[in-house]
Amino acid sequence: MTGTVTQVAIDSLPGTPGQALASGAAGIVVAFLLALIAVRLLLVVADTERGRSILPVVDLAIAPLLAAFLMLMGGRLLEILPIG
Amino acid sequence: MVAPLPALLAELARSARARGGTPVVLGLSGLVLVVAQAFVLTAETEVAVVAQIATFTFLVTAYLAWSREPERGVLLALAMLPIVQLLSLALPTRVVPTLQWFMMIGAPTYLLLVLVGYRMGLRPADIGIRFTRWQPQVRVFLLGAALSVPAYLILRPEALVADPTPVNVLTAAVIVAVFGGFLEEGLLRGVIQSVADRSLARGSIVVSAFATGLLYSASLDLRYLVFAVLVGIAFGLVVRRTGSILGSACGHAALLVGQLVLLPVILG
Repeated sequence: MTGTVTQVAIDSLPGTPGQALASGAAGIVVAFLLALIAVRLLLVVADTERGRSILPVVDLAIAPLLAAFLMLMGGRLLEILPIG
Repeated sequence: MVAPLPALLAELARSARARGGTPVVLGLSGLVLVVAQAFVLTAETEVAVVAQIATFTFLVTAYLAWSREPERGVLLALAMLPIVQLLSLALPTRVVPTLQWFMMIGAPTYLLLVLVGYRMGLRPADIGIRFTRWQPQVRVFLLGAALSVPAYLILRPEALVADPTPVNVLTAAVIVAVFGGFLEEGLLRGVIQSVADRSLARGSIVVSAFATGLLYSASLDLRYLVFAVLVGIAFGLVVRRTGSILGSACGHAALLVGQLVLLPVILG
């Protein structure tokens, strides 16, 4: 899965984590993540029974995408910080 | 010759209505997933990302709007696929070794698996994490190891390990096994097939094989796609018969380790 899924995008892969953060694909994913977080906040504020049932489903997407974003940011930090 | 066709269609429609529209909803979801994957295979990465986001939104909305239990659970299980595709499209970079991609994509996917399992009330035994008779499990493991040879010959992947010292090869094998074989079995046979099994019985193997084909279509090799689907069906049958994914997970890991780590070092 992980080895083969990326074959289609291999020619257009960004070079570094910094370029990945600046690329269109990652930008759209981050925008999607922000939209999900906004929806989550709205559902929490609305405080309806239906909203509470939707929250865990929204969290399903937020959690892995947030983890992925943090990994990218971690890679970017390692890239720019003078470590070692 | 013409008359039986409308009769057949009417019968199918009656059957679909009797099952609360299940074939229609699941068929439409499958179609949406295929179309989104077509964008991954043919379009620019940004377009593919948008298509995957739209697919996830469609599947989750359908899951929330559909009240029929346990059928609607299949939609939530299938909604994991576009998230995995998003991770695969957005995370890898050239400067990072290919081996690290497995961890970068695998770690959030494990998190996704746990959350979906928790959301759907799946215990470890429900997704096949349990010990059953060991003989069939060992046979599946050996089958997986043997299948790594045709898998390598079909795809001829480049070596994941640039400097094949024993430590590097062992590290690569562990990463590929944990973030490749075990993860894919947990996703495809563990969650998707077991959730589909609640409502579709034998059809669950079709659903997991479909998901396998969808993910492996990105290899851009028709022979490998057919191979992956056949292996997916075989593993699905074993999991359904034994009630455990341990054998198929070990077999899948052995297949990937042989194909991506050992054989490229030995034969490449």
